[in-house]
Amino acid sequence: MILTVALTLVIALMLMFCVLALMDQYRTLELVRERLGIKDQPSPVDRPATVPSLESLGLSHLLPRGAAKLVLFLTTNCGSCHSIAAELSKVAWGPLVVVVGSSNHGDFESWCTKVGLPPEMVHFDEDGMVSHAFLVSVSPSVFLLHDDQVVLAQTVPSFRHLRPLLDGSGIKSAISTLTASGSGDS
Amino acid sequence: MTVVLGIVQVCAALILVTAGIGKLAVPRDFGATVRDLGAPVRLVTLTLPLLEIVAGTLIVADPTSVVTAVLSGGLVCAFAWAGGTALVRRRLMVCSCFGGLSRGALGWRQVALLPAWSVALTAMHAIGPGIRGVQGVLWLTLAIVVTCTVLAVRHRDMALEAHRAIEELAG
Repeated sequence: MILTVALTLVIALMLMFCVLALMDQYRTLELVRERLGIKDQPSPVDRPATVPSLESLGLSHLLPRGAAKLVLFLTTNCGSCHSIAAELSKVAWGPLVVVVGSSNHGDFESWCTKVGLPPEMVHFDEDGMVSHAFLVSVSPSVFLLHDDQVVLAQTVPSFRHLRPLLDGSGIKSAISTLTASGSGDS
Repeated sequence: MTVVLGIVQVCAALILVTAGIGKLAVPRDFGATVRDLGAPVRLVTLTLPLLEIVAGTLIVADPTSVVTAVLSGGLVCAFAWAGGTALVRRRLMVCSCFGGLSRGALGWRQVALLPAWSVALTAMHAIGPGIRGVQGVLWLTLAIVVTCTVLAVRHRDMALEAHRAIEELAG
């Protein structure tokens, strides 16, 4: 009995050793990326002065309820878009509308199958009309609209940066920042 | 009261064990702290974490023994000395108390441990321990597993990000 308990404790200690060592490995990797200048951070992108209504852009069937809407632009030929879409297939989207750019419908459908997104839940921007309306120059990028006004426009280097927007905390912070700067201007 | 003392014992043991394992798993930062304090680096970086693990285990396995009191009391005195040294020298020294887990500074916190630990030790001897023996070791094991799970869940994003970064770097 005592031997079994002692062995269990030793295994638990080894488990803790592995977890802590692994966490340090992740930190080291972050440090390497920071030193090499490849640490990903969202960067702002050009935001259009006015955006046509999402209904007029053919997104009416995908529009979420509420005043705040997120429009995420992905393309089928970018690696980050692939990993973000794969993560999206596992979580609730909240106020998100996904727009995917691709050269043809066949590529779009096979990409959706690969990443696990149902094609009917995303918008295939075949003619680039939606991307053009938002002046999208880089993918993946996300635009936050509040009362048809673009509140936030930024790149999305990885799904980690999209998560706060999906759970609402990033949306609140972006809107409150805009409100504060707006009242400051006035 | 026994339940409260049992919880205090498990918490104290978990802190000591986590500190010991943390220093063994990531010895880099702790070595720098020992060097700053002017203590023998090789000796301290190996023996202190092991003593912390042994003391943590003894706190739940044999809490009222003289060995436990001397060992844990000695460790707390050593921590207080380190904190006091940093305060006297007025130098910012990284604690590395939990290896890579903490980046706090050495100072008052380590000094304040001394009276807090003395009170806990006296209470344990006066009232009697909450847990001991096999039961204590099992509770400590459970606490370690829960801590590992919490740490793994809290750092899940970091793990996913690291995985993605490696894939990107590999092209």
